[in-house]
Order: sequence, then structure tokens, then C-alpha cells
Amino acid sequence: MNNRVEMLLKEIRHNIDERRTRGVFPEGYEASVENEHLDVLGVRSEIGTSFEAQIALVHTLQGLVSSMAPIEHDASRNKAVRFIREVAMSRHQLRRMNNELVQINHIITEILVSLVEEVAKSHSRGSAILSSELQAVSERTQLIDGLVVVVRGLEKQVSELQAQIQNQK
Amino acid sequence: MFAEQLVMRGHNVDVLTSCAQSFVTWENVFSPGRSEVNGVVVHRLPVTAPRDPVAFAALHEKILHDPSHATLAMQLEWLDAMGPLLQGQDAWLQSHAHEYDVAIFMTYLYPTTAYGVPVVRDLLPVVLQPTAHDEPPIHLPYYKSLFKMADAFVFLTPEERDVVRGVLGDEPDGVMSGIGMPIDEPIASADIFRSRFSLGDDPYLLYVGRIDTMKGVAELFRFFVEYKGHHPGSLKLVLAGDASMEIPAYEGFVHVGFLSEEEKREAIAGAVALVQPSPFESFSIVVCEAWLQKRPVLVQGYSPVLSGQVLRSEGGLPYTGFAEFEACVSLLLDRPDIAHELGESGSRYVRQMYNWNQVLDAMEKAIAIAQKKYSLRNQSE
Repeated sequence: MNNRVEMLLKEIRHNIDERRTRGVFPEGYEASVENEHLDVLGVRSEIGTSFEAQIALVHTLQGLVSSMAPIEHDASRNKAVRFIREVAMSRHQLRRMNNELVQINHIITEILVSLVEEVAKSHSRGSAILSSELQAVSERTQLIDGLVVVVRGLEKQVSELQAQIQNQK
Repeated sequence: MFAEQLVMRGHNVDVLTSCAQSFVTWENVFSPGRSEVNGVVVHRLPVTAPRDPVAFAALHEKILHDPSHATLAMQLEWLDAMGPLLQGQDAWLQSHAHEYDVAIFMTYLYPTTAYGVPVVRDLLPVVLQPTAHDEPPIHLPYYKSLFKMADAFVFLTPEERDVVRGVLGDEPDGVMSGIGMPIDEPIASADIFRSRFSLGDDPYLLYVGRIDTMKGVAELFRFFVEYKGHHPGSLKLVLAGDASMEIPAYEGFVHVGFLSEEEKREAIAGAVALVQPSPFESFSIVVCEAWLQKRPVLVQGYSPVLSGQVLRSEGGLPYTGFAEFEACVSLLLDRPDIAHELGESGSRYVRQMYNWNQVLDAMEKAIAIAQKKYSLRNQSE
């Protein structure tokens, strides 16, 4: 690693991990400080109970796709957008595989539709942006040819979503 | 500025533009017709009507809710409502195209480009400098068609190229350029600025730009106040620019309003670092201005463009979340040698990448690519 900035960031992140371990940042503290940003980007302040049903669907999905290759992570700041993009792109990948995976595709579709509806129902600032993003990503990924997308990151994403739900409850 | 630099290189440059000054209202301010500005011939056409903000907002919200499914009629209606529509633009382009070797369109979004490119593409090679970033309108199908019509692109950053590649679904032809910066400017002194705003010898972080939630400033406020809670001291956050949000009453915030270019340089020169917290940027000129003053920058790590800029230049630190913001600020305060080193790296980067020679070389290369593609298009048709 020759980049000076990357070296500094590595050192900074190592120190942050140590501070977290020492309890300098109590659980939930960082999230509470960062809420302004999440609000701007359209993360909803409340998560409905149907989210838990979506999580259950994702668990089913995990079981079906566990043998897939690593996913190329989306760089979106918004965890929900990132999650949706990866799920949506996964649908495209799966469509290129074989008929046995049709069941997975149905589940992803159900998740996407459900999430879009959830976001549309929320009134947090920026929810319109998120809703628009979800719709666009969902439809756009159906049109992209030759995109190599895989699904292994779903397990991590699900864990993050669950943690997010727990934090906001 | 760009056109003037091309003229100084020996090119003949005409600019076709509107009579408007404000990109919000499109109200006609300048007189229509031909004039000359520093060797550049400027042709102004009147805007047919000022923007109706209420009608546009309603249409904007409707179409961007699902951009990929907007019908062509809806997209054209949205473009018309956004404006500016220039009176006689199509006829002007058709009747004058034969006088030029290439047409260069700047910024993809507005009807001047969206309607102008289809008119001239059969008459001239087309270079497009899209200044694109990942925003909902770029996913309207009309823009994919528009991008396909360009013979060559000029990109400001590799991240912008990625966005256009994503829309096109193919590798765009073109070049990477930057924005020409005044690299000969001397390092300013912050003494007058410090005195004018009673800053004394206090260290300060500097934000320059519109003070707006969507620019990440609300998050910056929160992070700064939290930082001060952990690290009491004399550090200030100086905010330069017009406020479109309420600035909280907090003793560490110093709002200095809109600064002249000279005052801005002085403010930057005295800062511990310039902070750019915006998550939505296609390019940050003020970051380059900080580097010209050899000051480091702290940038929003969740912006791919800003992160890319600091990683390539080694001229600052990207932060993602409060813990990193806190650690980065502390590092720059406690280790002035590192702050100096980052500022120097940024300065070298800007002088190497964003000098006018480099920028104009890139534009000339893009023009050559466009002319070659246009020639091939004509042969095959």
C-alpha cells in the first residue's frame, strides 16, 4: 500500500477500533450522531413490521443462493439503497442462470416490491428520493446485459438490516 | 473562461447561449444578439419564457419518481418545464453549423444540450462535457439516447466516466480532463481575514459553499459540536457562503457570509483544513482552491468523486461517519507536519492535473476523436 492517504486511513481506522473496544463510543452513540446524514439521504425514521417479513424472505433467499460467488458491493452511503441495489442486481444475475432459480427470482421481486411500497408510505425527508432510486434501480437492472452480479453479500446485508431495525426500535 | 483559453491557444470560438443569468428563473437579463467578450464571439438568444417553479416542481416530482418508465412525451414536457428554451435555437444551429468544425456542449441536463445535440449531430462532430453525477434525472431514457449521439466525451473525473458508462451500458469514447485552475496564484495571508472576523489565533475548519442540508452541512454541524464535546478548546468552524438553512446558535460556529475571491483565498490559507461534507458532488472546485493554498481537505467519504479526488491527489482525508471525522480532525490538529504534507501533495496534484495546458490538450484530443468518429459515421451512412 503506497498511497499516503490510504496508509493514514488504515492507522486512523485501527485507532478507532481500539477506541470502540475501550468503550469510548458506547453502543448506539455513533448512529445517533450520524442521524442527520441518514435523514438527508432518505433513511426512514420508523421501520414497519412488514420489514421483518422481508427479512424472513431474505433468509429464505440466503439458503438458496449460499453457494454463489462474492458480490461486488455497491458504494451507496444509504444502507437501504445499497441493500436494494445488490438485491436488484442479483435478480439480473440469477435470471441468467437456470430455471431452477426461478423461485429465487420471485422472492427477490417480492422483496423489492414490498420495500418500494414501504418507502412510499413513509414520510421522512428524502423518502421520495429513496423511493425513486428503488424504482429506477429495480427496473434498470432488468435491462443491463452482461452485468456480472453475485449474491454472497446478502448474508452480511441482512445482518446489517437486522441491526438497523434493532437500533431503531 | 474555457472559451477564452481556447481562443488564447489560437482557436476561433463562438458561444451560443441564453440571455438569462439565473438558472432558477431563466429570466432574460442580457440583450439578445452578437457581442464579443475577450476574443470570444457570443451569440445570445432570448429564453422563450421564465420557469414556472410550481409547475416544474410538480412535474419534476412526478417524472423522477420512476425515471426509467417516463414516456417520451413526459420527458419532453419535463425538459420544456425545466428550461431554458431558447427562441430560434434549432434554426440558428441548422443555419450556422456549416461555419464550424465541431460543436461542444457543456452540461448534459438542460434543453440547450438535450435539444441541441440531435439538431447538429448530422451536421457537425459533437463533443459533450456532461458534468454528470449519479442523480435521478440522468436515468431518464432520453439521456441515454442523448449520450449515444455524442462523438466524444470530456469527463472531469473517472467517477463521472463511470456514471456515463452505467447509463450508456458501454465504454464511452473520450478523454479525462479537469477544470483549469489559476495555478499561478500566490499563497495568501490570513491576517486580514482573522482580524476582520475576530478569530485571533484560534485554529479553524473552513466550509465554503451554500449552507444547506443537502450539501451535508447539517451533518457537519452535528459532528463538529460532538467533536467539541470530546475535545474542548478554541477550534472554530468558519462557514463562508449564503445560508439556506438555519445556522444553530453555537459559539464555535462563525458565519462570515459570502466572501470575495481574495477573501476566500485568505480564509483558506488560514484554515487547519477545508471541509467538503457534501454527499452529492460531480466535482469540487473549492477543494482544488484549498490545494492551491497548500491546505489539506477533509471530504465526505461517501461521495465517490470526493474520495477519488483525495486518494488520487493524497491531498486530504475522506471521513465516513463521526468516528473518522473526529480522528481526522484530531490528526490534522495534532500533526501539523502531516497537514502540511497533505496540503503540499494536493498543491502538486492541482498544478499537474488542472493547469490550462493539460485541460486544453484534453479538449483538443476529444475534438480529434469526435472528428474521426463523425467522419466514420458519414462514410457508413
